[in-house]
Amino acid sequence: MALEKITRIAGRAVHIPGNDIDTDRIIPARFMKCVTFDGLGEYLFYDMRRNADGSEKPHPLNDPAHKGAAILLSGVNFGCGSSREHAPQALQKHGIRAVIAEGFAEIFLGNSTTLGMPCVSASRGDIERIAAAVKADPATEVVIDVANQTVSFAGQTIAVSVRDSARDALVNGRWDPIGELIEGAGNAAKVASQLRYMSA
Amino acid sequence: MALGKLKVRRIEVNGRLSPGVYAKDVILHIICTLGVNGGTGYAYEYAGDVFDRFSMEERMTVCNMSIEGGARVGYVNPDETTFAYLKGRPYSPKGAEWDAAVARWRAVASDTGCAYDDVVRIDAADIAPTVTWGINPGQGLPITGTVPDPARAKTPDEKASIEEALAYMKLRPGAPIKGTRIDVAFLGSCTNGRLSDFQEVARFIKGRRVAPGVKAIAVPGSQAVGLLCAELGIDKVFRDAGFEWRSAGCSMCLAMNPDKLVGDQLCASSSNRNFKGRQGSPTGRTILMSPIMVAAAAVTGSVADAREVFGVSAN
Repeated sequence: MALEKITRIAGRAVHIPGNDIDTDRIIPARFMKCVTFDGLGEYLFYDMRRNADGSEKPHPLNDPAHKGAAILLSGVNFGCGSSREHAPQALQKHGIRAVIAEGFAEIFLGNSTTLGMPCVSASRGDIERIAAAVKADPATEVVIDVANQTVSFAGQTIAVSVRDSARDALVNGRWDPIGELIEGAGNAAKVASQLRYMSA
Repeated sequence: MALGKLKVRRIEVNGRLSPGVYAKDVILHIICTLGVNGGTGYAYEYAGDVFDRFSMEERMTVCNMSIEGGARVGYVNPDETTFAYLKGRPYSPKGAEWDAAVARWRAVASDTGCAYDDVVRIDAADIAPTVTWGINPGQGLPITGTVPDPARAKTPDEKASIEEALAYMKLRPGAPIKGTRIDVAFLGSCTNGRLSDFQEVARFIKGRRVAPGVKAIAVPGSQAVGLLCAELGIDKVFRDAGFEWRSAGCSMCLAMNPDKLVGDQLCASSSNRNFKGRQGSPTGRTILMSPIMVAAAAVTGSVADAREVFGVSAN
């Protein structure tokens, strides 16, 4: 089942620095009682953005200059923690369409890919360069070319990487693994019948 | 497909665990050794003497936390322990179907002498009762250890990470972790809420009392575990010791029900995550440990060495 081919994402960016930013930071578990994911975006980075009384703390996502940002920049091991899809869902529902980080937790990367949200790896220096451009002018347009693995901003273009399997799925519109399995059920059965441990 | 083929890292733990050291200590030790993102791109295969001897429930505790080590999955190869555990269970195959299933499961196990992408060997004797001091499961240390000093960090990243964790946890660099006062003790979760966890702790807390001022809750990981504990009178042992014995569920592992830390309360917890805010309060603090260590913390009111508290003799 072909979905939208995700080859290019363009928009403004917001930098949330730090390493090992976990899924409870992205969406505190106490907000995960929802039956659907609607409204989850409101609680994105809740404890980082709000005091106990609900008032706002200084945080990049509370800064009006970054309102509507579509690309999130961060550090090493972004999204570690929960296997649930709530963290990528909260990001996506908030309006984030891609994350550029130094590295991603395994399951977060998988969950994000299956929502059509690319996880793009870049070096620290390059992320800092994008962040500096965004800081200088929050309206800077950042363009991710998923297929060619580049990011362009403020007249510069840098090389980035999107894991092969994820890139292939995104650019070909095949990022819904359940849809893929349903469509390929016949092939899956054929392969299974040839596996020694499946036919024993 | 969006799922790439995983690399496989075999993690062998050989020799014998010391008395008072449990499956939870093994996985916390592994994560502290390899890091919270050490498993990125990997499946973890657990093996060696310790895993050969482990019950299925102990294996589940370790496999459960593979994710905390960054791995996508964790497993122990199917063996006689696996088959004995499954045989006769309500949804297990019966008769000829059982024999066919066992043959199929055996065929799934890794071949002797097969190649791995990485092999890590750990001596069981090097594993102590392990507790966390920080805000991710890799920030842990033996109960006899001291809280790290950011001044001694090897990299600026490590320094920043220690500083952030200590500021949140309100711990002092260089202080012994043992003796840190706790407010709450939580025994339960998918990591350590199984029958054997409650049975083991019940052996030690019989006749003991939860320390004044400590809220101690015991929560079976499933209704089946809760029923078995009731049949065996284990719930009574916990209640007599001053624990609140609760209905089955996730409870204070992630605070989706009213079981939440309040303010900056510190919780000795048998769950799997010590992230900021995880237990329901944006400033709540979590120290991960084994069930027996949670019990030791509950009865003393501070992070304690269960071997001392319960007189578990070393070799």
